[in-house]
Amino acid sequence: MAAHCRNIKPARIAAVTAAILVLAGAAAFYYHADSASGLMPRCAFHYLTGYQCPGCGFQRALHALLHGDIAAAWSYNPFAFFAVPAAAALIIIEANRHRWPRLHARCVHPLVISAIFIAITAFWIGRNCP
Amino acid sequence: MKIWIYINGQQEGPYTLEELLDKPVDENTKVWFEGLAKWYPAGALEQMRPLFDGSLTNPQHTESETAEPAEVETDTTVVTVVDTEAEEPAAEEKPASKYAPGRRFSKQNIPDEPCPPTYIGWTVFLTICCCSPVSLAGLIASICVSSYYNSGRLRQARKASEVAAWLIMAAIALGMIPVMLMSALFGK
Repeated sequence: MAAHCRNIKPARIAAVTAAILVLAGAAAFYYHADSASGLMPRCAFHYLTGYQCPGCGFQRALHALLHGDIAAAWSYNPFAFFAVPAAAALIIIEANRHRWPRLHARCVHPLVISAIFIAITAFWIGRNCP
Repeated sequence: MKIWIYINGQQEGPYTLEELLDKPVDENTKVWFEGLAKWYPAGALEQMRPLFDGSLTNPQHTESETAEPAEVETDTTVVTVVDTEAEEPAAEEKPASKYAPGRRFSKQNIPDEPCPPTYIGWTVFLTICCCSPVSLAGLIASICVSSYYNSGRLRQARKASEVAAWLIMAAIALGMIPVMLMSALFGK
């Protein structure tokens, strides 16, 4: 039990920190960022290899989304539309595993996690194919 | 399957499951075979169950006791059926665990203790938001946690969970710090 609590608490602290960071980031993004400013850093993977990573375009998509341009956001990174909400849901489910043990067990089943991994890899390869 | 037993203060073996029928083995006798971390009472092990539920018969005894050839024939078929039941899971058993062997990810392999955190949400989020080899390694560690846990390897699952947590922190550090530095240096 003690070991278990030790695992849960940092996750909760990290979740709160992440929520604050996300809110602050969204505000900064909305008011200050455009594609030319330093608030939109280059993706290291794209910078080094020239290929797009699964997250490339996510920041531009977020910027477009915050300004209400859904079509542009979709064209920048369609995968993020599914992956980011899914990741958020998974984080919430893992943090509340005592409340929804069966849902949690289903979500962390190896087949589900492997499917997520395969989806990310497939999108990664697919978007770099001309 | 080679089984050692602990009787009268010393270990004996190796025996097959059939040979154990002739030994004074009860459910409290400590037994060990390849794949177990320590000695367990025979009653606690799935593999030893044929000894106690009567599904295992001794081939020598049945053959010597039955005189008619017709009945010997039926007996051998029974014995082979029982043999496959008793031996097949043991041969399949690769993970070193006390849990019942068999199909991977089947429910009977899941340990009693709760699954260590997989951090799958975090690793997916980091793979999308600041993709780096580290966050990808974290994602793979998440997969390892879940597949180790579901195949009964709790110790490895805990280790993988720890690795995943460290990789997440490393990925955040690697991903976020350059972003903050860049926005501080080059931002308007």
